[in-house]
Amino acid sequence: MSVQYPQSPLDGPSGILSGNLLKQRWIAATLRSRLFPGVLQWATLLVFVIIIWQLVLGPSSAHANLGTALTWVLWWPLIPIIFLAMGRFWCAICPFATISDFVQQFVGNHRPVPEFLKKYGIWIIDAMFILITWSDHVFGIVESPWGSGMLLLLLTTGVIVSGAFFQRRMWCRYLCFLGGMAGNYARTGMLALRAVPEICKTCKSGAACFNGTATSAPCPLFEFPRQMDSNANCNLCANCIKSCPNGSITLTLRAPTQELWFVRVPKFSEAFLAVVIMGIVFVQNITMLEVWQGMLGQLETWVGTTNYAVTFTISFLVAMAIPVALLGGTAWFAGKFNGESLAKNFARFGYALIPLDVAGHVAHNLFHLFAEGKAVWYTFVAFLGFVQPEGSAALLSPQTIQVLQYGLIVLGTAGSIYAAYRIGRSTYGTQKLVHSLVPYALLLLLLGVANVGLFMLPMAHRV
Amino acid sequence: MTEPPSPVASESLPPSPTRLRLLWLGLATVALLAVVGVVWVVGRQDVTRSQPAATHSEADAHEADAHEVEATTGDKHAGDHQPASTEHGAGNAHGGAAEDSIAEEHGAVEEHAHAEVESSAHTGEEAAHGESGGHGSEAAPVSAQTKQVVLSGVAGINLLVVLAAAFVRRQNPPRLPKYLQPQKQGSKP
Repeated sequence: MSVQYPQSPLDGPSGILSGNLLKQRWIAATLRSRLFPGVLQWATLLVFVIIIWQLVLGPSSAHANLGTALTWVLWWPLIPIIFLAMGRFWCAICPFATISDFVQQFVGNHRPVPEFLKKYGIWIIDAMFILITWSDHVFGIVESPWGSGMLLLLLTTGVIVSGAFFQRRMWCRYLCFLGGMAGNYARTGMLALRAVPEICKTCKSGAACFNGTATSAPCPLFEFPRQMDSNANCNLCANCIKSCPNGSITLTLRAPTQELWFVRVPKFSEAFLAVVIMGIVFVQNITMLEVWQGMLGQLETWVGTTNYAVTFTISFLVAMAIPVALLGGTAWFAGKFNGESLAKNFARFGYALIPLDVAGHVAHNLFHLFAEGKAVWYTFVAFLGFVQPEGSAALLSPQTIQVLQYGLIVLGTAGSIYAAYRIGRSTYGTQKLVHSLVPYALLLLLLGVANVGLFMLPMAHRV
Repeated sequence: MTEPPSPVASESLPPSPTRLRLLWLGLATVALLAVVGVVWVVGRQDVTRSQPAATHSEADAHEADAHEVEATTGDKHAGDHQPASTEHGAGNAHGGAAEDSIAEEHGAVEEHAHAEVESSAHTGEEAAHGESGGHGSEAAPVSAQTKQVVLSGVAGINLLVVLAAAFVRRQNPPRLPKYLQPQKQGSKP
């Protein structure tokens, strides 16, 4: 029996670019289908199994390994672009989430999320992100198929523990490092799912969107659409669209980064993650540059050891600390003019870094995607049992890639400065706006120039 | 995040003993198959993959597959793109790659790397050193035995977690979300 979904009384224009996308029949039918997003989930799980298989049992050279190519040349570069276009949709079809759901369905204990995770989960995500990046460099995870496989299996174990004992997708919401990054990046996303408060006020379903119904699962990320004002924890799984009996859910297009302009309650931890990601992108860029060897040699002389773990850890800490210190200093300086504390300034304007984060991340990985993209095909051919083709793995020339990278950084810097402007305007009005904005605009410009400078230097390959 | 005021108003329905037994039986069977499968597969890999490693240890790379040799002597990028390898004399290829654009030279460098396969194991180790200074160290090749132990361990841990969860669930049946509760007969979906 087909379920009849009521139309929202707050029907706006029904065009694709304006108004509620759920007014488009095919979109609504797709999202309300029982097959959505299950079909995509199982498809990504199948690819995930192949990736794991290749990573742990396939060729030991990253150059010849399909798992490495699919993970680090294709998926990792595409993921921030997906976040920008569709928010956290990847999280809805992520194989880890599917594994968690599967385990939960059969042996799940559905325990409530521990309070400390609700409180400090974001800091654990910050720490995990830093630890994984550090491990990648010290243990060579990306270059080593076995290392990459171990990382994925380790995460799988965490996911299984979470799914077996706790409610919903606790791992994805409170522990997944990619989920943390996704939450930040999704704020720039162009798709927004929200509920209409006027309709929700009259709801008598007992929060079906949050709790689920007999036929549809509850919100996997513990969001209550009625109160949702951010994309950070919405993965567009469409459960709430299916379960809402009042047709209150809307799906709209919006300008990229728009959400950053109106963060009602800025959180220091989320701003800190934005800065950490900036530091990580710097680390990733610097260590792939040819000048890195010279820098490392110099450092070895200073510290008196050639132990890479030691020298890299020092470089890593410095690279991570620079953006944090720069934003901290700017926040302190801006506080002189807008009268707010360093912490408040840091939290409020830290979100403005996110567009530049996304741009830097995409630009960095654009190199891997376009300079090594054919490796995906080459390794796939080898995976099928044919002779692996030889030749350049590049899809575009280095010059073209560089132009694209510069363009992205310029866009990201502009997006960040504009976000800082809007944050300042919505917080202080026009009175303190200029004095507050100028320090942050200068900082963002500096970070943008630093990014461009890094992309001007030759970079090493992943496969 | 603010949770809604109305909690899930569902009742827990403990699974029937027959279902539980079937669940346990199914889980145990799947787990056993998984562990046996992993061990069998890794054991098979041991047979098929041990040959190139032995070849490398004897520094006789002629007969080995070029990629396997690259893997055992350090990531080829070390020899291709990292300055350190130039210093060690292993990377004429790198010199070229540094001067020209890396992406365009990738193919040519790769061929050169294949030619360099004939170089000694010592050279390869130096190349690996170059990589370790570049972007993390390419660890020594993982032996099939290590893989066997690690994979069996991971499978075992996951199995234990699942069995423990099933046991706890049996002892304390949780309040299931509505969509996981068994549908009453005659009720509409």
